[in-house]
Amino acid sequence: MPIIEVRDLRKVYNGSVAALKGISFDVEEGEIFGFLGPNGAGKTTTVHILCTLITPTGGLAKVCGFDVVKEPDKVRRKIGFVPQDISVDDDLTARENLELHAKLYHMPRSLREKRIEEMLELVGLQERADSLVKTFSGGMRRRLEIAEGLLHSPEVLFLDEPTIGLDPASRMTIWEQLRELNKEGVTVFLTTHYMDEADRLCDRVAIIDLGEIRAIGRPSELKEEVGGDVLILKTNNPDKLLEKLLSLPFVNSATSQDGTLRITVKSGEKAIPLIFEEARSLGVNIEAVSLSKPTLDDVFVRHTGKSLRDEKIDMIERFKQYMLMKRRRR
Amino acid sequence: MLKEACYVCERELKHFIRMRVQIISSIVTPIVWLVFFGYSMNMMSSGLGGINILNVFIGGERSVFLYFLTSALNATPLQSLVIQNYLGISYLDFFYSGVIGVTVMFACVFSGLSIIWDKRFGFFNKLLVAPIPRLSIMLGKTMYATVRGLIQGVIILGFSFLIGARIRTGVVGVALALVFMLLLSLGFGAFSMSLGIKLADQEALFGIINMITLPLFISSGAFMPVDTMPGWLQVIAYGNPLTYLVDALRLCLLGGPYSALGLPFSLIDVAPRLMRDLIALSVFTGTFLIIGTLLFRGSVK
Repeated sequence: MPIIEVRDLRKVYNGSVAALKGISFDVEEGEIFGFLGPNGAGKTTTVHILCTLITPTGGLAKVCGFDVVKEPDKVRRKIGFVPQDISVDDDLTARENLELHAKLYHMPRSLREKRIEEMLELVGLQERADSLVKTFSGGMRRRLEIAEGLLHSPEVLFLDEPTIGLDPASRMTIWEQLRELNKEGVTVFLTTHYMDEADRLCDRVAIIDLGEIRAIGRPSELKEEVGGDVLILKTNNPDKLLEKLLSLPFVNSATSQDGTLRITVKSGEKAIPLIFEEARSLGVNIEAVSLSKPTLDDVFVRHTGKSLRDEKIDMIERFKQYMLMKRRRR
Repeated sequence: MLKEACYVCERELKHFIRMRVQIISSIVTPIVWLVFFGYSMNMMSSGLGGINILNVFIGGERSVFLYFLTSALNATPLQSLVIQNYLGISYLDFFYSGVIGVTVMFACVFSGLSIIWDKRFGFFNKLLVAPIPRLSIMLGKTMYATVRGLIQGVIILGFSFLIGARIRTGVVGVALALVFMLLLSLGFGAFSMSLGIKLADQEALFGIINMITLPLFISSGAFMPVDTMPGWLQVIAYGNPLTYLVDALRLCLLGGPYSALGLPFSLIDVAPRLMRDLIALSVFTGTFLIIGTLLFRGSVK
């Protein structure tokens, strides 16, 4: 039985804005499942429905076998939630934040202290445990947020944009921690607009845009669908080689332009030596070769007709403004 | 439910303790009122032949002291005057209950801000994702408002005592005063929460609170007896919950006038009036607890 089950889930805001137009997917136990899409695609809406924060307009959503609308309290006991906007309490210390969380989840006192130490160690915040959170960097806050999400040993951890606005080193740390925890059996559901994050971290990815799931599968499979790796060859006799290449079974497509050949193949690493062999037998010289792998962005372009890259700046800008506002708070 | 509310309340109290500037300002402001205003009026009333000057200042027929004495004793102004001279109540004695009431109001009336902040910064969602009864969130925050109102009220009461204001009814009177403070704190806390649930930004809350606190404050009888106010203002005063708190505090702390006969200042004499105050405050607090609960239920699914 899948641990998250979503069928034809719909959400309409204010009677007119359709945020989700009927999405369906399953997440299996022990997976790292990613929702990849731009701002406003419906990622946060999905997470909020699954975390019982908002009620869907229609459709069905089950987490750990419990309906999120009918049995929200049972769902709440099973899940951890790391929201997009960092929401650990600035005016408490890291430890106090965790203590409050533990109490709200009815953890017995004996277990509480042990678990808090474990979590602080997991996210590498032991030394700063008794400092006020307002003195923390963005990465530290995010790590504390994750520690909180995990404190009560949830079966599923939901993370909404877990590495937004973080520097590369902090992102790597968080990825490692998520993998570590996934090994211990926690199912991870995350949303992201970073394709590298979806690619490197997730077992399976759903591409979502404008409230609809456009594609779903393993990152490697999705990329293969794009048409495979791209090889660029420079040669002294492109026409002769092109003709031969088009007859080879492993070549998906090949075009020639200004003496440069652009070839798509299933696996570039395997294709290169074979192409070289063919070229030698034809007596054609290959002067240069480059191999590029398709990214999830190519997948995204294929399914939605637009690129994710343009989105990034918007999101980071928004995050920075949020942090500024937060500092001005008191 | 109550346990979870206590956790929420504990967090708010930790915030309060860490906001040093806010603590200082919330205590210094009423102290300034008390010392600057209370003492200067005192000088006028006692130093210069007291009651007449005060009469002139207030512009009413009856003095400040007669206000509660006549009401409690149901005596003629002349009789009251005699007792007043014997008791020698100063303006400070009259005024400090009012300052306590106003302090309690200001301590609670901004507590709805915390809901707005929590909503804006996502902490509210975190509370909602936790497996706790929804209402415990509002209850906890209202509890915090109540505790804070009580703490600040007690500090001002203690300070009044230190600078020479008198508590004439002893422990029972003070205990009763605390009950009244608690009741109104709860009411204003629930009122502020109701606003916090409905409003999206803190400026709107500040605007509304600032708009209503000044009239509440002036019409409450903290500075001058309600009886000496113009009729239209009296109407407002009797619709103002703070009026009943100030009145109740005054009665609780100063008691009835019978000590003139050598007995302790009695609360029994003023019991009917205290009962009226208690009912008025209970209605106010009950109404806003219900409104707050309904609004909160409606806003979280």
